[in-house]
Amino acid sequence: MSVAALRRWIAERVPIPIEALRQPLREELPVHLKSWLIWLGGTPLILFGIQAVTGILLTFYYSPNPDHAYDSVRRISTSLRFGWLVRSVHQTGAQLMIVAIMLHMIRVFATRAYRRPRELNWVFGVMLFLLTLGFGFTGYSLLYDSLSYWATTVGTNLVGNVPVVGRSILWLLRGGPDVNPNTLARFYDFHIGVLPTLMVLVLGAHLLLVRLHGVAVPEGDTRRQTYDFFPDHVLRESAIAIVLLLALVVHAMASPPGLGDRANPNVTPAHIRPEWYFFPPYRWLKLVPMQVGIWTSTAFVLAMLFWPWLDAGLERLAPGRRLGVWLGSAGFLFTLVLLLWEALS
Amino acid sequence: MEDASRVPRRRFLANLVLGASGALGIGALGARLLAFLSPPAPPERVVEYALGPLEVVPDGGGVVRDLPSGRVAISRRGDRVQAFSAVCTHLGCIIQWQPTADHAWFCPCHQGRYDRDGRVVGGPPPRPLVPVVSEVRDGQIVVRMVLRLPVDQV
Repeated sequence: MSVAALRRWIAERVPIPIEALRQPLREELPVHLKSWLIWLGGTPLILFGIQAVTGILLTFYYSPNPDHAYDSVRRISTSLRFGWLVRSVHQTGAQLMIVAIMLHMIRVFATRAYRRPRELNWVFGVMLFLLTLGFGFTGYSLLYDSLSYWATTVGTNLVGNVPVVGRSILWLLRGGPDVNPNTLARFYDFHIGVLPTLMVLVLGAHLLLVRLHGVAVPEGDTRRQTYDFFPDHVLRESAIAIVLLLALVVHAMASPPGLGDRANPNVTPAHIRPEWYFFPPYRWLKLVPMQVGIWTSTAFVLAMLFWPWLDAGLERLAPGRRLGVWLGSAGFLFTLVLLLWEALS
Repeated sequence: MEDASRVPRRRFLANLVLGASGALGIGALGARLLAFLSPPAPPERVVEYALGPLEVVPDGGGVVRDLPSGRVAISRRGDRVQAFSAVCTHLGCIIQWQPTADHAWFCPCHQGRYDRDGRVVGGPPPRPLVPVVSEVRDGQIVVRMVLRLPVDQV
C-alpha cells in the first residue's frame, strides 16, 4: 500500500480535519518572547511533563501503606536499578517546578500582564501554583520518614484550625481523627489522581486563554516583529527541556536523594521543618497567634488570586501612584524575608 | 405579536422540572460520595492505664509515654503527679520535657512552651495542654484516657 493510499485509508476511517489541527502551530509570537526573562512560562510545563513521567515510574514500586511506604522508598533509592535517578529527578524536578512558576509569576507581575482582559489567566496561574504546592505537600508526605510524617501532621492540623469547615476538611483529608493508615492512601490518591486531573484541566484552560488572547506585550514595547511558534519557539522550548533534564541528571549523580529516619509517631524530631517553599507560612506561624496566622495567610492567598482586580481598584483609587506595584512588591519582599529568615535560622 | 425569543410556558416548566430533579439527584449522589470519603467515627471508651511505680518518672522531672490511647506527658514532684495529653495544642506535634527557668514542656515544631501545670508560657499554642486524669494508687501511677479503635478497623 502506498503512503497516499494509507493516508486515504486513515482519513476515511478517522475523519479529523488535519488543517484545523495544524492551525495552533501557525501562531505568530511577539518578538519580545525571545527574551530569556519571558520564556519562563513554558518551563513549568516542561517540568510538569518530567514529573508526570518520573512519577508514573515511581508508582511501579511505591507502596502507599504506612508499614511499607518507607521501605519501598528506600528500595527505590538503593536497590532498584536507576531508582536513585528516577527519584532524584522527580524530587528535584518538583522543587524546580515551584521555582519556575514563582519566576514566571514574578515576570507576569512585573510586566503587569495580568491586566484586563487577561485577569482570568492570572487566576488560573495562581491556581496552578497552589496545585503545585499541593503536589509538593502530598509528595513529601509519601516518604513516610520522620520529617515527612510530622510535616503531614502539622500541615493537616493547620487545615483543621480553619474556622467552621476546618474539622470537616481535616477528617476528609486524613480519613479519620489522627494521621492514620487512611491518610497515606489519601495523600497518594491526591498526589497521583486528584491533583494531576485538576492540574491538566486548569493547565488546559490557562494555555487556551494564552492562545485566545495572544501573548501579552509588555508596556512600552512598540516592536511589531513576530516569529513562528513552530518550529522556532518549539525548538527553543526543546532546548530548555534538554538543559533542564541534563541539570536534573547531573544533580542526581552529584547528590543522590537521601531519606531520614523511619517515621515515629511518638517522637517529634528536634529540628522539624517543612520543605523550603513552605518556610514563609511556617515562620509566620511561629510569630503570630494561630488564628491570626490562618486568617492573614488566607487573605494573602485571596489577594494573590484576585490581584488583577485589586490592582485595578488601587489604580482607580489613586491614578498614576502605582499603589498596586508598591503593595505587591511589599508582599513579595515580606514573603522573601520570612523565607530567608527561616532558611538562615 | 408573540416574541419569538420567549420560551413557551410548557417547555419552560419541563426544563425547570428536568433541571431541578437533575440538580437534586446529582446533589444527593455527591453528598453520598462525600459521606463515603468520611469514615465513621471510631467508638470510644475510657481506659485506665497503670504506668508502673512512682519512680518511672524521676522526682522533679517529666516523661512522655506512648499508650494505646495516645501519648501522655507526666511530671512528678514528690508524691504528686500531673498528666497531660502530650499533643501540642498548636499544631499537634509531641511535646518534650525540657525544664528551664521559664518552661517545663517544649514543642520542637514551633517552639511552643508550657509550664508544669500545662499553661502556655511562650510560643504560639492557643490553649493550655489538655489534662489527663491521673492519680497515685498503691504507689503506682494510674492515668485514665479515652481509647479509640484504629480508624481502619471500624
